[in-house]
Amino acid sequence: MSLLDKLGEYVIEGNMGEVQALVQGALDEKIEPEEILEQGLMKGMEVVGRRFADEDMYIPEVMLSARTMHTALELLRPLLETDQKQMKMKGRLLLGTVEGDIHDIGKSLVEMMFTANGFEVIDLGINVTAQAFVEAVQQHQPDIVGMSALLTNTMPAMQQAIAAIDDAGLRKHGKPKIIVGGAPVTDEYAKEIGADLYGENALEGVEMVKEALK
Amino acid sequence: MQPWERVSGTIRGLAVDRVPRGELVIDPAFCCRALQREPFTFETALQCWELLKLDLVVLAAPNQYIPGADLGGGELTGNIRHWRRETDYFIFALVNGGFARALASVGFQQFMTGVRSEKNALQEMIQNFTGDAVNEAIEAINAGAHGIIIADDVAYQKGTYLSPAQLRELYFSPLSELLEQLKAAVPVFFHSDGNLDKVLPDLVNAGFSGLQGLEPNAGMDLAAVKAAYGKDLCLMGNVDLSLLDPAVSEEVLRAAVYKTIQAGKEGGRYIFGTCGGLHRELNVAQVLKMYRFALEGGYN
Repeated sequence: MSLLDKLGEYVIEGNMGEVQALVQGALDEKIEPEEILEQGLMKGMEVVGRRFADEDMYIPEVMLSARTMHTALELLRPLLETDQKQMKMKGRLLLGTVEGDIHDIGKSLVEMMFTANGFEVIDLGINVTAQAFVEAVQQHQPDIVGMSALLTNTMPAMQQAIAAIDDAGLRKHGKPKIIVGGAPVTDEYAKEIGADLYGENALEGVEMVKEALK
Repeated sequence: MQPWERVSGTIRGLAVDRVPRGELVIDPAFCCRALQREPFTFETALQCWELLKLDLVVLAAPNQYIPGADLGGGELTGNIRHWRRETDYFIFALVNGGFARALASVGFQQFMTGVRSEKNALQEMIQNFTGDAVNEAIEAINAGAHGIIIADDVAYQKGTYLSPAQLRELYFSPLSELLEQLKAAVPVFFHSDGNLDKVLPDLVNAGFSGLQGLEPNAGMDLAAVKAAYGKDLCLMGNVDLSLLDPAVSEEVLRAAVYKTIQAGKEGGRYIFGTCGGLHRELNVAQVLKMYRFALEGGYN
């Protein structure tokens, strides 16, 4: 098994304790950080995503894999950035549960899956007002804004936040993409309120965003 | 037939005059809007219950689990005594279970990784918290609660957070021992959002008398669950909150309510209501229509 394959296995197993040593080993072998990320860690995470979709892995296993990935990225990210390869990170996601909604489990899953798939995630937390979304978009210049709502009665806050971002002139030329999700949200509703994307679950959200940012 | 008798009979599988009705939670603000009066008082609650022709009330300790479940604003046992003394409703006391308490205590991420990396410590924590929940439930029963709902969101839209085997080991097995003392006194229901299909046998084995929730949006099919587990579990809820959007036509709402209540009536052991409760912003007219249709179709 190659070093890169072994890195993928570590991600799948959630071997958080040993992954940095193996990443360091790969760097010592002069393997490019980008290759370690794409051909080692991400390959493992793709397997995790498939097994999660097939219900062969559950949240605890996926969470451990994601944290293993995160641990490895701690070592790799500075190298990718100093090499001017930060564009190889998938993108920057600004994430929050909308105003009036204090649920964070769904949002945590989204954060985990996006981080594990190589996105930089800025978590605004729960009960995020439209104005707070606007200010965060101005400050962080994200590629994607993710909004979550678990309750039917907080769904309109998504529409208000999207409208506020548009009113502030912050969504231009298709950027940032806005993705919405949460138990009561539907594709139809997402379109109705002006979102670019709808993710039925965290994993689907990652795939849709990857596709949209291509 | 008194409301509490209707609910009690339904839980036990006895013949009753109509399908009983109840919600996991009704936000006091919804009651005020429905009656167009403020402030919220015990009298307001009673009038709201009469308006919706409900048969049960779910009471919880203040700030526990769901805002608004602490109808009356007092501490749980006092609230139970008051409702028991003043009304004929079936009284459920809602207590957070060990899973929810442990999750709230350590946070989602640490809890989930702990399932793999610190299993024994997590198991002990869940068990201790479950013990606390059972003690609160015993106090509620002593105060006059007719039934207990243990609320533990162990699932989400797609399924359970943990594998069924992990849940069995960490949660259901220890819970079943602790449930014994409650079951001897009153029926004990389980509440969780999300899709529980894969752990329904575990709920039965743990000794629960009923299940509240059955979120259609998460794929929970009332007729299918009833066909498989209707003899073991009394089911409660299942109406999708999206039906209460005023944009949903009367015909669509009526058809959906009739379908739910027909599926529920088949063989009995069903309590009509929404899967998640009546929150403050829900459309009052739509809720009233839903309950009117449920009454039209609910008589046996």
